[in-house]
Amino acid sequence: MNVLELDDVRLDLPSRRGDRSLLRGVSLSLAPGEALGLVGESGSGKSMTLRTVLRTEPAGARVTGRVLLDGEDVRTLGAAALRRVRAEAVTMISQNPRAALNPVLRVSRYLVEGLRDARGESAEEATRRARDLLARVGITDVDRCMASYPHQLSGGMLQRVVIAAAVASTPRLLLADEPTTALDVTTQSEVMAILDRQRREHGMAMLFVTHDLELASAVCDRIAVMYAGEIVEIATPEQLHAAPRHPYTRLLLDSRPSITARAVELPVIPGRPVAAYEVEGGCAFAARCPWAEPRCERDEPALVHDAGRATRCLRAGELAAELAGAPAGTPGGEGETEVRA
Amino acid sequence: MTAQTLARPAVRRRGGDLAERLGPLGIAALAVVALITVAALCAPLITSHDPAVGSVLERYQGPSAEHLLGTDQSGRDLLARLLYGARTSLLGAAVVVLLAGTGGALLALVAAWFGRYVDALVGRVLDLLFAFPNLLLAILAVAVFGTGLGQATVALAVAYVPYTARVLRSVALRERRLAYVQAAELQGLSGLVVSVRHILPNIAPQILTGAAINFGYAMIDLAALSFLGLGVQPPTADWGLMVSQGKDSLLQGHPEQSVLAGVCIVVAVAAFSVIGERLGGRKAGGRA
Repeated sequence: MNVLELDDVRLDLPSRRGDRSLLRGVSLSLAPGEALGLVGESGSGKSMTLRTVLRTEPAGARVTGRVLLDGEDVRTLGAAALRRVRAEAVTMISQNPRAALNPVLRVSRYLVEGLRDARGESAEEATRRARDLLARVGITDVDRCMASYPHQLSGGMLQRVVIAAAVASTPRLLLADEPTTALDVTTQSEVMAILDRQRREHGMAMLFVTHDLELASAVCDRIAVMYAGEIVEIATPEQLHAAPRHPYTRLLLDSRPSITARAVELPVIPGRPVAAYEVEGGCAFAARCPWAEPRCERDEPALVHDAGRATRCLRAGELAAELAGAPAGTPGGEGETEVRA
Repeated sequence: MTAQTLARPAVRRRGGDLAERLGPLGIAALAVVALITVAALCAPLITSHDPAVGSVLERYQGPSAEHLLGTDQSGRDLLARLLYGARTSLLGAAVVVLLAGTGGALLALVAAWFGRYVDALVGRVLDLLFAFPNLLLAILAVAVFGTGLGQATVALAVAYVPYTARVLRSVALRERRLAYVQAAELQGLSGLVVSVRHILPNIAPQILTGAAINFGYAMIDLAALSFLGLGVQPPTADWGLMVSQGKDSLLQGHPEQSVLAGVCIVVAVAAFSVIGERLGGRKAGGRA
């Protein structure tokens, strides 16, 4: 059975000008121990998807669809059952570890009390295990770290502490919301490696939200690309890099700076990302898509599954060869790098 | 792990921090408070006189070796009455502050945790209590439950709850929305555990500051209640009561009792207020 299964999850946020849709039917599944990356631009609904799993969506949001955790729908759980799920089955690692830790508690208290809550261990046992966990996330001076307040530790150190706390209860599912965005690049790779190793050691599945396609490719088994509140493509990193099937994925890959070639101007996807609530029928990406045809504006594409991957594009079949090619040949040409505010 | 500490000194000594926050005046005020407290606790060691017993034959004596500050209209030793009076005055105010602080923090945490309707309900009830002047509320309670130090302190504590609760509610509400509280909630901790373990320590400075400021006011209000004859009952020694009992002697040319007790009240209240303001004033910026 899948650890996590999202079935046509929609999220609407009431506003003065009517409901605003943030998620327009997200479906995905996570096998035990699998890592799935959610990538996309800001506002594409990545974090919101994550938040529906632990029921932390904004107040007043209306969520439909099913979110199955080990076959149990978390959307219908009562308060006590939801607390149990949060305590035992799922852990979340957020973007900013400094904000996620109580500023007036020492690391030792944070870890030890967490362990005692989760497993009812004795104080000595919990302390021993906390030290062990810290050592395993690459902290060398465990004594000093245990005795520190959050403001005395660097962001990288804090994120390790958070990871240690997250794996302590050996949850089945790890939700990581851009866990390394607030860290500098060298720390980023270190922390990501630690997170990945801990995840594998404990056999946890991970839903990993990030802007960073490279990072997602490095640690995830599959990647889901999101655009305007829906998934436009799911594939393995290899498939995605070698032969993207959705125009958006292709353009996303092209707009990454290359470390070997010096670019005069980075290619930019023309237009601006549309919000989910702005989509009015047809393909959400049609307005920015160089390959769009009249029918793209009219007909809404479905997520079509094919040989272990899935694409949401009406022209996926015809464009397969063209999109798989090198970053050249985008019919719009480089001149169209318009920027609208 | 070289990148472990930030630029500022990793370990700040708590004592140094407190002294810096209080400033010279605050330290002086702290010394005054300490002096009063020690004097109240050690009253039997300082004077051998019973504050409640005197001889009418010795009334209105001036300062002497036997009675350092003289005697009152009943021939009781004034120094003894001041020293023992400090006990009732301090204890009464301490109980008021403790009860008001606990009640206020409790209401604040409940309002902040549940928000919405609970918050609105708590807010309106506090508004209702606010509408009554403190002393009037206390007098009403005393009228219903009878006079005495116990009744007066409880009544005052109830009257003080709105002040502490309102301040603490706003701070607790701010903490409630911070990421660390949400993170704790996402760890599956119950509202009670998150409130007590995470929010409470973060609003503790404001609780303490409020307590220090309220302590002064509570002393004045308790003294006022005693002055009106609603609080401490004679012959128990109490500063407020001493001011009241001395007012007849004032007319007979013996102002010492009222003046001495009044000075004690003013000095103690001023000292507590200074400490409270120093703690609160420097705290207003909050942590980064």
